Amino acid sequence: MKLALFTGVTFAALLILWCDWPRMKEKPTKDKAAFVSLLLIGWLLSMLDLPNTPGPITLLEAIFKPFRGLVEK
Amino acid sequence: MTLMLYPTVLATGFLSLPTITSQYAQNDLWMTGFLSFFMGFISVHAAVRLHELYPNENVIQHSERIVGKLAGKIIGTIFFLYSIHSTGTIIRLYAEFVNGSFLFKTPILIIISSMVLLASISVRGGLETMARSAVIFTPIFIFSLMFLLLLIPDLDARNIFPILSHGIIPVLKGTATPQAWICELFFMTYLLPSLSDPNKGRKWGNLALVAIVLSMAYVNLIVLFLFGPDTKDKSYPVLVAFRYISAAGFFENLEALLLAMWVVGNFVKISVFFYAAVLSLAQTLHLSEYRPIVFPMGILAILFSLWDLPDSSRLGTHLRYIAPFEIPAVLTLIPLLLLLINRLRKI
Repeated sequence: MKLALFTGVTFAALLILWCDWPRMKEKPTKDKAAFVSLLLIGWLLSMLDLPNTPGPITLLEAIFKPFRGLVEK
Repeated sequence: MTLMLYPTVLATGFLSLPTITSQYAQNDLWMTGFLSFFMGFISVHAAVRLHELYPNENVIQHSERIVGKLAGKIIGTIFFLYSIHSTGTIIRLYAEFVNGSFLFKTPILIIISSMVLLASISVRGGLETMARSAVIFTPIFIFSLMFLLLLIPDLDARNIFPILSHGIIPVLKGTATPQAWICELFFMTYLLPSLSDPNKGRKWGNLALVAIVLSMAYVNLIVLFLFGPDTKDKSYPVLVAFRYISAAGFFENLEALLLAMWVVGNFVKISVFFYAAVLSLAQTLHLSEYRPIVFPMGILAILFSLWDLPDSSRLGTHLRYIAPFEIPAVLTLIPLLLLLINRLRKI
Protein backbone atom coordinates (compact mmCIF):
# COMPACT_ATOMS: atom_id res chain seq x y z
CA MET A 1 0.00 0.00 0.00
CA LYS A 2 1.44 3.34 -0.96
CA LEU A 3 1.10 5.40 2.17
CA ALA A 4 1.06 8.72 0.37
CA LEU A 5 -1.82 7.66 -1.86
CA PHE A 6 -3.76 6.10 0.99
CA THR A 7 -3.49 9.11 3.29
CA GLY A 8 -4.32 11.41 0.40
CA VAL A 9 -7.41 9.45 -0.50
CA THR A 10 -8.53 9.18 3.14
CA PHE A 11 -8.11 12.90 3.61
CA ALA A 12 -9.92 13.69 0.36
CA ALA A 13 -12.77 11.30 1.16
CA LEU A 14 -13.27 12.79 4.61
CA LEU A 15 -13.17 16.29 3.16
CA ILE A 16 -15.75 15.43 0.51
CA LEU A 17 -17.95 13.77 3.13
CA TRP A 18 -17.71 16.76 5.41
CA CYS A 19 -18.46 19.29 2.67
CA ASP A 20 -21.22 17.47 0.87
CA TRP A 21 -23.11 15.64 3.61
CA PRO A 22 -25.30 18.67 4.53
CA ARG A 23 -26.42 18.79 0.92
CA MET A 24 -27.06 15.07 0.88
CA LYS A 25 -29.30 15.07 3.93
CA GLU A 26 -32.46 15.95 2.02
CA LYS A 27 -31.76 13.63 -0.86
CA PRO A 28 -33.37 10.20 -1.19
CA THR A 29 -31.67 7.22 0.38
CA LYS A 30 -30.43 5.93 -2.97
CA ASP A 31 -28.39 9.08 -3.54
CA LYS A 32 -26.87 8.88 -0.08
CA ALA A 33 -26.06 5.20 -0.59
CA ALA A 34 -24.39 5.87 -3.94
CA PHE A 35 -22.37 8.76 -2.53
CA VAL A 36 -21.13 6.82 0.50
CA SER A 37 -20.46 3.61 -1.42
CA LEU A 38 -18.42 5.44 -4.08
CA LEU A 39 -16.27 6.98 -1.37
CA LEU A 40 -15.97 3.63 0.35
CA ILE A 41 -14.95 1.79 -2.84
CA GLY A 42 -12.35 4.45 -3.55
CA TRP A 43 -10.99 4.26 -0.03
CA LEU A 44 -10.78 0.46 -0.08
CA LEU A 45 -9.14 0.45 -3.52
CA SER A 46 -6.47 2.88 -2.36
CA MET A 47 -5.36 0.32 0.20
CA LEU A 48 -4.04 -1.96 -2.54
CA ASP A 49 -0.71 -1.52 -4.27
CA LEU A 50 -2.49 -0.19 -7.31
CA PRO A 51 0.13 -0.05 -10.04
CA ASN A 52 0.94 -3.72 -9.60
CA THR A 53 -2.54 -5.04 -8.93
CA PRO A 54 -4.18 -6.87 -11.85
CA GLY A 55 -7.04 -4.73 -12.90
CA PRO A 56 -9.12 -3.52 -15.82
CA ILE A 57 -6.28 -3.73 -18.32
CA THR A 58 -5.54 -7.34 -17.47
CA LEU A 59 -9.23 -8.10 -17.77
CA LEU A 60 -9.50 -6.40 -21.16
CA GLU A 61 -6.35 -8.17 -22.34
CA ALA A 62 -7.95 -11.48 -21.48
CA ILE A 63 -11.17 -10.55 -23.26
CA PHE A 64 -9.53 -9.31 -26.45
CA LYS A 65 -6.69 -11.82 -26.66
CA PRO A 66 -8.09 -13.55 -29.79
CA PHE A 67 -7.93 -10.26 -31.70
CA ARG A 68 -4.39 -9.44 -30.77
CA GLY A 69 -3.01 -11.15 -33.85
CA LEU A 70 -4.79 -8.64 -36.07
CA VAL A 71 -2.76 -5.71 -34.79
CA GLU A 72 0.46 -7.47 -33.90
CA LYS A 73 3.32 -6.40 -36.12
CA MET B 1 -20.51 21.02 -29.08
CA THR B 2 -17.97 20.81 -31.88
CA LEU B 3 -15.58 22.82 -29.74
CA MET B 4 -15.92 20.20 -27.02
CA LEU B 5 -15.66 17.21 -29.33
CA TYR B 6 -12.55 18.35 -31.18
CA PRO B 7 -10.14 18.13 -28.22
CA THR B 8 -12.03 15.08 -26.94
CA VAL B 9 -10.58 13.05 -29.76
CA LEU B 10 -7.38 14.88 -30.52
CA ALA B 11 -5.85 15.99 -27.22
CA THR B 12 -4.26 12.62 -26.56
CA GLY B 13 -4.46 11.76 -30.24
CA PHE B 14 -1.65 14.12 -31.10
CA LEU B 15 0.36 12.78 -28.18
CA SER B 16 0.50 9.15 -29.07
CA LEU B 17 -1.05 8.48 -32.46
CA PRO B 18 1.75 9.60 -34.82
CA THR B 19 4.20 7.17 -33.21
CA ILE B 20 1.80 4.24 -33.18
CA THR B 21 0.64 4.74 -36.75
CA SER B 22 4.16 5.26 -38.07
CA GLN B 23 5.30 2.01 -36.50
CA TYR B 24 2.82 0.18 -38.69
CA ALA B 25 2.46 2.33 -41.78
CA GLN B 26 5.86 4.07 -41.90
CA ASN B 27 5.63 6.74 -44.54
CA ASP B 28 1.96 6.11 -45.27
CA LEU B 29 0.82 7.21 -41.85
CA TRP B 30 -0.97 10.24 -43.22
CA MET B 31 -3.54 7.97 -44.83
CA THR B 32 -4.67 6.57 -41.50
CA GLY B 33 -6.50 9.78 -40.72
CA PHE B 34 -8.63 9.50 -43.83
CA LEU B 35 -9.27 5.79 -43.42
CA SER B 36 -10.64 6.31 -39.92
CA PHE B 37 -13.18 8.79 -41.30
CA PHE B 38 -15.52 5.89 -41.96
CA MET B 39 -15.69 4.78 -38.32
CA GLY B 40 -16.19 8.36 -37.22
CA PHE B 41 -19.09 8.77 -39.60
CA ILE B 42 -20.75 5.66 -38.17
CA SER B 43 -20.25 6.90 -34.60
CA VAL B 44 -21.72 10.33 -35.34
CA HIS B 45 -24.61 8.76 -37.21
CA ALA B 46 -25.37 6.32 -34.37
CA ALA B 47 -25.37 9.06 -31.74
CA VAL B 48 -27.51 11.44 -33.81
CA ARG B 49 -29.96 8.75 -34.91
CA LEU B 50 -30.51 7.53 -31.35
CA HIS B 51 -31.14 11.09 -30.31
CA GLU B 52 -33.58 11.64 -33.17
CA LEU B 53 -35.56 8.58 -32.12
CA TYR B 54 -35.72 9.51 -28.44
CA PRO B 55 -34.97 13.19 -28.01
CA ASN B 56 -33.55 14.77 -24.87
CA GLU B 57 -32.04 11.53 -23.66
CA ASN B 58 -28.61 10.07 -23.91
CA VAL B 59 -27.52 6.55 -24.71
CA ILE B 60 -28.02 5.20 -21.17
CA GLN B 61 -31.66 6.20 -21.15
CA HIS B 62 -32.07 4.98 -24.72
CA SER B 63 -30.79 1.56 -23.80
CA GLU B 64 -33.35 1.20 -21.03
CA ARG B 65 -36.08 2.16 -23.45
CA ILE B 66 -34.93 -0.11 -26.23
CA VAL B 67 -33.88 -3.30 -24.48
CA GLY B 68 -35.73 -3.11 -21.19
CA LYS B 69 -34.73 -2.44 -17.63
CA LEU B 70 -32.27 -5.22 -16.82
CA ALA B 71 -30.35 -5.20 -20.10
CA GLY B 72 -30.44 -1.41 -20.03
CA LYS B 73 -28.81 -1.41 -16.62
CA ILE B 74 -26.15 -3.83 -17.83
CA ILE B 75 -25.39 -1.61 -20.82
CA GLY B 76 -25.31 1.41 -18.52
CA THR B 77 -22.84 -0.36 -16.26
CA ILE B 78 -20.65 -1.25 -19.23
CA PHE B 79 -20.67 2.38 -20.36
CA PHE B 80 -19.86 3.55 -16.84
CA LEU B 81 -17.00 1.09 -16.39
CA TYR B 82 -15.63 1.92 -19.82
CA SER B 83 -15.87 5.69 -19.20
CA ILE B 84 -14.23 5.67 -15.80
CA HIS B 85 -11.49 3.31 -16.94
CA SER B 86 -10.92 5.43 -20.05
CA THR B 87 -10.79 8.60 -17.99
CA GLY B 88 -8.12 7.01 -15.84
CA THR B 89 -6.12 5.86 -18.88
CA ILE B 90 -6.29 9.26 -20.52
CA ILE B 91 -5.25 11.06 -17.35
CA ARG B 92 -2.34 8.64 -17.07
CA LEU B 93 -1.34 9.25 -20.69
CA TYR B 94 -1.41 12.99 -20.17
CA ALA B 95 0.45 12.75 -16.85
CA GLU B 96 3.13 10.45 -18.30
CA PHE B 97 3.73 12.98 -21.05
CA VAL B 98 3.98 15.95 -18.69
CA ASN B 99 6.11 13.98 -16.24
CA GLY B 100 8.43 12.50 -18.81
CA SER B 101 9.00 15.56 -20.96
CA PHE B 102 8.68 18.59 -18.73
CA LEU B 103 8.26 18.07 -15.00
CA PHE B 104 10.79 15.31 -14.42
CA LYS B 105 10.95 15.42 -10.65
CA THR B 106 7.27 16.00 -9.88
CA PRO B 107 5.57 12.89 -8.49
CA ILE B 108 3.10 11.72 -11.07
CA LEU B 109 0.34 11.61 -8.46
CA ILE B 110 0.51 15.39 -8.12
CA ILE B 111 0.05 15.88 -11.86
CA ILE B 112 -2.82 13.39 -11.94
CA SER B 113 -4.53 14.83 -8.88
CA SER B 114 -4.32 18.44 -10.02
CA MET B 115 -5.89 17.62 -13.37
CA VAL B 116 -8.62 15.50 -11.78
CA LEU B 117 -9.41 18.24 -9.29
CA LEU B 118 -9.75 20.76 -12.10
CA ALA B 119 -11.90 18.46 -14.21
CA SER B 120 -14.12 17.61 -11.23
CA ILE B 121 -14.74 21.25 -10.46
CA SER B 122 -15.60 21.85 -14.10
CA VAL B 123 -18.00 18.89 -14.27
CA ARG B 124 -19.58 19.80 -10.97
CA GLY B 125 -20.25 23.22 -12.41
CA GLY B 126 -22.26 21.49 -15.10
CA LEU B 127 -22.27 21.20 -18.86
CA GLU B 128 -22.44 24.94 -19.31
CA THR B 129 -19.20 25.44 -17.39
CA MET B 130 -17.49 22.79 -19.49
CA ALA B 131 -18.82 24.26 -22.71
CA ARG B 132 -17.74 27.77 -21.90
CA SER B 133 -14.26 26.62 -20.92
CA ALA B 134 -14.07 24.71 -24.19
CA VAL B 135 -15.03 27.87 -26.07
CA ILE B 136 -11.92 29.52 -24.64
CA PHE B 137 -9.55 26.56 -24.67
CA THR B 138 -10.22 24.86 -27.98
CA PRO B 139 -9.24 27.90 -30.07
CA ILE B 140 -5.98 28.06 -28.07
CA PHE B 141 -5.51 24.38 -28.86
CA ILE B 142 -6.10 24.89 -32.57
CA PHE B 143 -4.13 28.11 -32.84
CA SER B 144 -1.03 26.55 -31.34
CA LEU B 145 -1.03 23.95 -34.09
CA MET B 146 -0.55 26.73 -36.61
CA PHE B 147 2.94 27.23 -35.25
CA LEU B 148 3.94 23.97 -36.88
CA LEU B 149 3.74 25.86 -40.17
CA LEU B 150 6.87 27.74 -39.11
CA LEU B 151 8.67 24.50 -39.93
CA ILE B 152 7.91 24.81 -43.65
CA PRO B 153 11.52 25.65 -44.60
CA ASP B 154 12.69 22.44 -42.90
CA LEU B 155 10.12 20.11 -44.37
CA ASP B 156 11.12 17.62 -47.03
CA ALA B 157 8.09 16.53 -49.04
CA ARG B 158 10.00 13.67 -50.63
CA ASN B 159 9.67 11.75 -47.37
CA ILE B 160 6.16 10.84 -48.43
CA PHE B 161 7.55 8.62 -51.23
CA PRO B 162 7.34 5.73 -51.93
CA ILE B 163 3.59 5.76 -51.44
CA LEU B 164 2.06 2.45 -50.45
CA SER B 165 5.29 0.59 -51.02
CA HIS B 166 4.35 -2.07 -48.48
CA GLY B 167 0.79 -2.38 -49.65
CA ILE B 168 -2.40 -1.40 -47.92
CA ILE B 169 -2.26 -3.91 -45.04
CA PRO B 170 0.23 -1.94 -42.89
CA VAL B 171 -1.90 1.16 -43.39
CA LEU B 172 -4.96 -0.75 -42.25
CA LYS B 173 -3.09 -2.04 -39.23
CA GLY B 174 -1.97 1.49 -38.52
CA THR B 175 -5.56 2.72 -38.72
CA ALA B 176 -6.57 0.46 -35.84
CA THR B 177 -5.68 2.95 -33.11
CA PRO B 178 -6.81 6.20 -34.81
CA GLN B 179 -10.19 4.70 -35.60
CA ALA B 180 -10.61 3.81 -31.94
CA TRP B 181 -9.88 7.43 -31.06
CA ILE B 182 -12.40 8.67 -33.62
CA CYS B 183 -15.08 6.41 -32.14
CA GLU B 184 -14.86 8.61 -29.08
CA LEU B 185 -16.96 11.06 -31.09
CA PHE B 186 -19.86 8.95 -29.86
CA PHE B 187 -19.63 10.93 -26.62
CA MET B 188 -21.72 13.53 -28.35
CA THR B 189 -24.62 11.43 -27.15
CA TYR B 190 -24.13 13.03 -23.74
CA LEU B 191 -23.96 16.50 -25.26
CA LEU B 192 -26.86 16.30 -27.73
CA PRO B 193 -29.68 16.52 -25.16
CA SER B 194 -28.44 19.94 -24.08
CA LEU B 195 -28.20 21.48 -27.52
CA SER B 196 -30.37 24.48 -28.13
CA ASP B 197 -31.16 23.20 -31.62
CA PRO B 198 -30.90 19.39 -31.72
CA ASN B 199 -31.55 19.27 -35.45
CA LYS B 200 -28.18 20.79 -36.07
CA GLY B 201 -26.47 18.04 -34.07
CA ARG B 202 -25.68 15.98 -37.16
CA LYS B 203 -24.15 18.91 -38.98
CA TRP B 204 -21.92 19.95 -36.09
CA GLY B 205 -20.95 16.36 -35.38
CA ASN B 206 -19.85 15.82 -38.95
CA LEU B 207 -18.03 19.13 -38.86
CA ALA B 208 -16.11 17.93 -35.81
CA LEU B 209 -15.32 14.69 -37.64
CA VAL B 210 -13.98 16.50 -40.72
CA ALA B 211 -11.93 18.88 -38.58
CA ILE B 212 -10.46 15.98 -36.62
CA VAL B 213 -9.56 13.98 -39.74
CA LEU B 214 -7.96 16.98 -41.42
CA SER B 215 -5.99 17.89 -38.29
CA MET B 216 -4.71 14.35 -37.90
CA ALA B 217 -3.60 14.32 -41.53
CA TYR B 218 -1.99 17.75 -41.13
CA VAL B 219 0.01 16.79 -38.05
CA ASN B 220 0.94 13.42 -39.49
CA LEU B 221 2.15 15.00 -42.72
CA ILE B 222 4.21 17.66 -40.97
CA VAL B 223 5.80 15.08 -38.71
CA LEU B 224 6.45 12.81 -41.69
CA PHE B 225 7.98 15.55 -43.80
CA LEU B 226 10.19 16.64 -40.93
CA PHE B 227 11.46 13.31 -39.69
CA GLY B 228 10.85 10.80 -42.46
CA PRO B 229 11.77 7.31 -41.26
CA ASP B 230 12.66 8.60 -37.80
CA THR B 231 9.05 9.19 -36.81
CA LYS B 232 8.59 5.79 -35.26
CA ASP B 233 11.67 6.12 -33.09
CA LYS B 234 10.32 9.03 -31.13
CA SER B 235 7.85 8.76 -28.29
CA TYR B 236 6.28 12.15 -28.95
CA PRO B 237 7.15 13.31 -32.48
CA VAL B 238 5.01 16.42 -32.18
CA LEU B 239 7.01 17.51 -29.15
CA VAL B 240 10.29 17.08 -31.01
CA ALA B 241 8.83 18.97 -33.97
CA PHE B 242 7.92 21.89 -31.75
CA ARG B 243 11.37 21.86 -30.17
CA TYR B 244 12.84 22.08 -33.64
CA ILE B 245 11.02 25.29 -34.51
CA SER B 246 13.46 28.15 -34.71
CA ALA B 247 12.33 31.03 -36.87
CA ALA B 248 14.01 34.40 -37.24
CA GLY B 249 15.83 33.84 -33.98
CA PHE B 250 12.63 34.81 -32.23
CA PHE B 251 10.33 31.80 -32.17
CA GLU B 252 12.30 29.33 -30.09
CA ASN B 253 11.55 26.92 -27.25
CA LEU B 254 8.01 26.57 -28.47
CA GLU B 255 7.58 23.27 -26.65
CA ALA B 256 6.41 25.42 -23.76
CA LEU B 257 3.54 26.51 -25.98
CA LEU B 258 2.95 22.88 -26.84
CA LEU B 259 2.70 22.00 -23.16
CA ALA B 260 0.19 24.78 -22.58
CA MET B 261 -1.82 23.64 -25.57
CA TRP B 262 -1.81 20.05 -24.41
CA VAL B 263 -2.80 20.90 -20.88
CA VAL B 264 -5.84 22.90 -22.00
CA GLY B 265 -6.78 20.37 -24.66
CA ASN B 266 -6.52 17.49 -22.24
CA PHE B 267 -8.48 19.42 -19.65
CA VAL B 268 -11.42 19.64 -22.07
CA LYS B 269 -11.01 15.98 -23.02
CA ILE B 270 -10.82 14.75 -19.45
CA SER B 271 -13.82 16.81 -18.37
CA VAL B 272 -15.91 15.38 -21.23
CA PHE B 273 -14.91 11.81 -20.38
CA PHE B 274 -15.48 12.48 -16.71
CA TYR B 275 -18.89 13.98 -17.43
CA ALA B 276 -19.73 10.84 -19.43
CA ALA B 277 -18.67 8.61 -16.53
CA VAL B 278 -20.63 10.62 -13.96
CA LEU B 279 -23.77 10.81 -16.09
CA SER B 280 -23.67 7.13 -16.98
CA LEU B 281 -23.50 6.11 -13.33
CA ALA B 282 -26.12 8.62 -12.22
CA GLN B 283 -28.57 7.51 -14.89
CA THR B 284 -27.93 3.80 -14.51
CA LEU B 285 -28.73 4.08 -10.82
CA HIS B 286 -31.55 6.59 -11.42
CA LEU B 287 -30.09 9.10 -9.00
CA SER B 288 -31.89 12.41 -8.65
CA GLU B 289 -28.85 14.42 -9.74
CA TYR B 290 -25.27 13.76 -10.64
CA ARG B 291 -23.55 16.60 -8.80
CA PRO B 292 -22.91 14.90 -5.43
CA ILE B 293 -21.09 11.95 -6.98
CA VAL B 294 -18.66 14.06 -9.02
CA PHE B 295 -15.95 14.36 -6.40
CA PRO B 296 -16.09 10.71 -5.24
CA MET B 297 -15.77 9.76 -8.91
CA GLY B 298 -12.73 12.00 -9.04
CA ILE B 299 -11.05 9.85 -6.43
CA LEU B 300 -11.99 6.77 -8.45
CA ALA B 301 -10.58 8.34 -11.61
CA ILE B 302 -7.25 8.90 -9.88
CA LEU B 303 -7.24 5.28 -8.72
CA PHE B 304 -8.10 4.00 -12.18
CA SER B 305 -5.24 6.00 -13.66
CA LEU B 306 -2.87 4.08 -11.41
CA TRP B 307 -4.48 0.64 -11.40
CA ASP B 308 -2.68 -2.03 -13.38
CA LEU B 309 -0.31 0.51 -14.96
CA PRO B 310 3.10 0.12 -13.35
CA ASP B 311 4.85 1.94 -16.18
CA SER B 312 4.21 3.69 -19.45
CA SER B 313 5.17 0.70 -21.60
CA ARG B 314 2.14 -1.15 -20.28
CA LEU B 315 0.09 1.87 -21.23
CA GLY B 316 1.62 1.72 -24.70
CA THR B 317 0.74 -1.96 -25.04
CA HIS B 318 -2.79 -1.21 -23.96
CA LEU B 319 -3.15 1.54 -26.57
CA ARG B 320 -1.76 -0.57 -29.39
CA TYR B 321 -3.30 -3.95 -28.81
CA ILE B 322 -6.40 -3.55 -26.67
CA ALA B 323 -7.84 -0.08 -27.17
CA PRO B 324 -8.46 -0.58 -30.94
CA PHE B 325 -10.96 -3.27 -29.98
CA GLU B 326 -12.27 -2.12 -26.63
CA ILE B 327 -13.29 1.38 -27.71
CA PRO B 328 -15.23 0.53 -30.89
CA ALA B 329 -16.83 -2.43 -29.11
CA VAL B 330 -18.33 -0.17 -26.46
CA LEU B 331 -18.83 3.06 -28.37
CA THR B 332 -19.85 1.81 -31.80
CA LEU B 333 -20.97 -1.80 -31.55
CA ILE B 334 -23.38 -1.33 -28.65
CA PRO B 335 -25.12 1.75 -30.15
CA LEU B 336 -25.42 0.02 -33.52
CA LEU B 337 -26.93 -3.01 -31.78
CA LEU B 338 -29.34 -0.69 -29.98
CA LEU B 339 -30.39 0.85 -33.28
CA LEU B 340 -30.80 -2.58 -34.83
CA ILE B 341 -32.90 -3.89 -31.95
CA ASN B 342 -34.99 -0.76 -32.07
CA ARG B 343 -35.62 -1.28 -35.76
CA LEU B 344 -36.50 -4.94 -35.20
CA ARG B 345 -38.88 -4.11 -32.38
CA LYS B 346 -40.82 -1.74 -34.56
CA ILE B 347 -41.54 -4.44 -37.12
